[in-house]
Amino acid sequence: MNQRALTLLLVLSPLAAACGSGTAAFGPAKEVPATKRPTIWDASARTRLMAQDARSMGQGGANQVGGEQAKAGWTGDTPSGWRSVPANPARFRDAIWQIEGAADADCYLTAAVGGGTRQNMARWYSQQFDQAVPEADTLPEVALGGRTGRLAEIRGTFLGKAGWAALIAFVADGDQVMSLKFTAPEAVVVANREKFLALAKSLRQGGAAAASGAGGADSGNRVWTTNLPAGWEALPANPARFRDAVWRVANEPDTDCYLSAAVGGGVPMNLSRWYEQQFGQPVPSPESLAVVELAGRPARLAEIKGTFQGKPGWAALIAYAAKGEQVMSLKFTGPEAVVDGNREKFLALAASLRPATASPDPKAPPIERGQPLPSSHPDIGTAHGAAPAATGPFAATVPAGWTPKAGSPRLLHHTFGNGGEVYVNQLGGTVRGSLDIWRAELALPPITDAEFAALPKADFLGSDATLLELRGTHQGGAPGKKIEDAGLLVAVRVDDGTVTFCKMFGPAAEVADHKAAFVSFCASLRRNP
Amino acid sequence: MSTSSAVATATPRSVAALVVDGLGSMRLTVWLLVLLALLTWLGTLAQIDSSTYDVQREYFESWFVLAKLPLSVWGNAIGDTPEGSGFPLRFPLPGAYPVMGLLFVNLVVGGMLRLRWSGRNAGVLITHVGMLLLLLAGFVKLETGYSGMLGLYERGGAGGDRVHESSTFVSFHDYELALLTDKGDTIVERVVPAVDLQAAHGSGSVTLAPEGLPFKVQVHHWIDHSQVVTKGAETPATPVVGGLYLDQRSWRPGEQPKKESEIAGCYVSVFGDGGERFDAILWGYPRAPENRSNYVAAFTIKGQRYALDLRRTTYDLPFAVRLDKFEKKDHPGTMSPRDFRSHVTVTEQGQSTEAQIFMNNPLRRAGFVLYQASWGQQPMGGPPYYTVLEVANNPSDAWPEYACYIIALGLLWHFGAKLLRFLNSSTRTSLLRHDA
Repeated sequence: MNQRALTLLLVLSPLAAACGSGTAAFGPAKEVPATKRPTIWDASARTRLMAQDARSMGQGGANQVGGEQAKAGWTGDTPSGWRSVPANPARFRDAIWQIEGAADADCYLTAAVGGGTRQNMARWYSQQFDQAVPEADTLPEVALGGRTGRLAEIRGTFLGKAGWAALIAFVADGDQVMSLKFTAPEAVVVANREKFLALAKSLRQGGAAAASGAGGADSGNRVWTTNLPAGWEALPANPARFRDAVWRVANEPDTDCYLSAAVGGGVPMNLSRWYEQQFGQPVPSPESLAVVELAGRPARLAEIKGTFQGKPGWAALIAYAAKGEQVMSLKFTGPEAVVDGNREKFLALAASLRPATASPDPKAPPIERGQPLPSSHPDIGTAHGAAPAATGPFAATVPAGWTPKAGSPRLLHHTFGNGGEVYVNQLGGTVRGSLDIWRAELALPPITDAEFAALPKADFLGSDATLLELRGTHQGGAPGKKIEDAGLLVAVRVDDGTVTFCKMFGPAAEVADHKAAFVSFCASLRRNP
Repeated sequence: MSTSSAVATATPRSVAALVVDGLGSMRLTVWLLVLLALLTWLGTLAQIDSSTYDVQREYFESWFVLAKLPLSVWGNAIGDTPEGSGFPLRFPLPGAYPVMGLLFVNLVVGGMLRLRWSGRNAGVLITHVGMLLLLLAGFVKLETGYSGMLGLYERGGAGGDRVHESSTFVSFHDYELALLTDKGDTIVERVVPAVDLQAAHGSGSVTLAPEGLPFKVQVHHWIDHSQVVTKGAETPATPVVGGLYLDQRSWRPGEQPKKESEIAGCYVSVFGDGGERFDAILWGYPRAPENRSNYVAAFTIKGQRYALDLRRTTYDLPFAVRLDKFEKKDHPGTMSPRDFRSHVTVTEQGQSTEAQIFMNNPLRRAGFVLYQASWGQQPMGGPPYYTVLEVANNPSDAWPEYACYIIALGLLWHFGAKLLRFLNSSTRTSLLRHDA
């Protein structure tokens, strides 16, 4: 009987709590010194509650996917004496400018990065200039891309360089911060302050999409093939936007189907992006979704209908499978009727998806993006009806003993020996600034003028490049991996307005053994037509 | 055997005797120890997917648990689900709380009451006392102890409003509603624990009438895991105050809910005796150690400034702790920490003492124990670092140590006595004679 009463009480108590009302009492009054309870009595509700806009919710930190819409296509009126260079969204540089005659100057727009105002200000002030972080409300207002933001003006020692300054115009949407940052020697910053403010004011969306640099984080470098459904057509891939293979229904230009071989954020973040951000719908439990096949793996199928990014009557089919935080997804969007009519073809496409191999054997190693196809390989873009061979912007002759590194966002990424790596990549900024970054990886101070002038040259992308050779304790590279006695070799030059480099690092002895191979690899590097 | 004696043997024993026999049986002891081992193993495995706190509550502080066993062969999960994990086997078990309670009873009945009290059994009895004390220590800690965290930034450098020194710590999980009265140099605070505000969930409300103050406080629309949202085109289910509303923050699909990560929120309405009204949203996001200040919802009635604050349950220490330096050393060739420790200065009544807190080296002071719990760096990595110390107040803190001494004494006594008995026994004498 008692057990029954207890069970009844347990069952009913949440119900009572859900709809009832009651009373409670504060405990006894306790007087404490005001210094023991530092209290902000007059903060606005928005500051007190760290309010965020609904549209920014669900977006994650700086390195999470989901900000593509915010990042796409920013332009501004480039001031006289300045020039626009290709963007590098993979490094949160959605538009980049340089100043003629001031090689060290660096100005770039980050359209959306997580962390909120506090963390970003802490990074700028505390980490980069080692200064106290002021309250954002105390900073002067500034026009930034049609909105009113705040202007951080910092002078001092910037990442070890004395006499530098930064102008940073920023505005926050909840956790997401948009910023235009300009760093240079103080005299350059002072001389260009008005131009910077004019550029900040003129920023707008709607220009050409940001030029692609390196692929996105873990965007997957494999070349994918599939059995193209009848009535579908393949389009060029765009790995920098996480589109590792792209298709659409022929004669239906509104349809869009693409494979993202690997994006971060895990299933929760990606489901949130598809359902909440793109369709404004609640996220279902993954277990409630149908199981389908995607590239030989069991996957879930998200079927969403509604208003897609402001377009009513649209639908999406998304087959996805996860390995830890990395999610592979095949996404098909379009008018609802078209999507419904192509559902079976989409599922067949998903099931037939597979990495292209250099031999007829399906178990052969997959072809990596940037790796030249063997001459005997059939044209995967036509003969198999697959996506065009998107081999990246560069090709090179790979020396013996180097192994392609799968799943790397970098270009022509290979490993060698016991822990050695070599890859090609692009950066914003300047050659000298990049050299300092690599020196910092080995805990070395910025390069001096004399050292810079004395650096040797190497043949790289059909022209002379600066060759940097260092030895020390390497703390960069693979996460969690530190190499005590490391060697570092970098060939770097500005190519088509972007700092382009080939970097080799690993145990010092192995790097020394592969130096000749590195030099010949660099010499063979060429742009794909 | 005579007929009468056979009848006497078959006479059923009383229920009480059967219960005592059952509770004190060695078979029950073995079952309970097996259950404890099983719970420990499964509870450890469960921490792969759940937080330590959740597992502790689910497996060790509960009466019942639906245990989960991930199936795998040589580390490979059986069943490749789209979420990247295998299918677990689920089965019910009693929680560790009743198992240990029953073990306590079993030890008392079987090891103390039923055991013959004699010099021969003294060692066993002493050992049982030690084990009982060990179990009792766990019970006292669970029922009366409390703990929380103290986050501190390294002293010096750019810091803004960061916390470098503090004499308060906050609960890992529990919230409280604080009513503050501004008295200039002092603050008068009255608190009510969140557990007393359960009726404010959903459409319910809880009304509080602070004694001697000219208003009542109504708490409503309490959400255990919440976020504050700027009102847009949507129609929220909760009231909009100043263009903002409180929304349920859902755990993302596949994400394990973690009690310690919940951020409680609620609405408060203050009704003054003179007809004044003040409405606000309260949100319990912990700002420390990034920010030492409490951002409160203030209101003024009859010229006196008051404020309401939803915060993690806050405890005061009789001393202040300052972080002078945080030290982290990595395993050679990796970036995984080998050792991390906090160099702190403790100040009590004007007297300062330096100390180091690191793994297995907590700081004990004035009834509190400060453990090195966690640490953090800047969002992009690197200094300045902060440390997170767990502060525990546990009346039975030293009991396990005493229990170990008692158990050691009991075992020494028991085995020593056995040895002595053997040395003086005729068996030994005959063995020696045989060897000779």
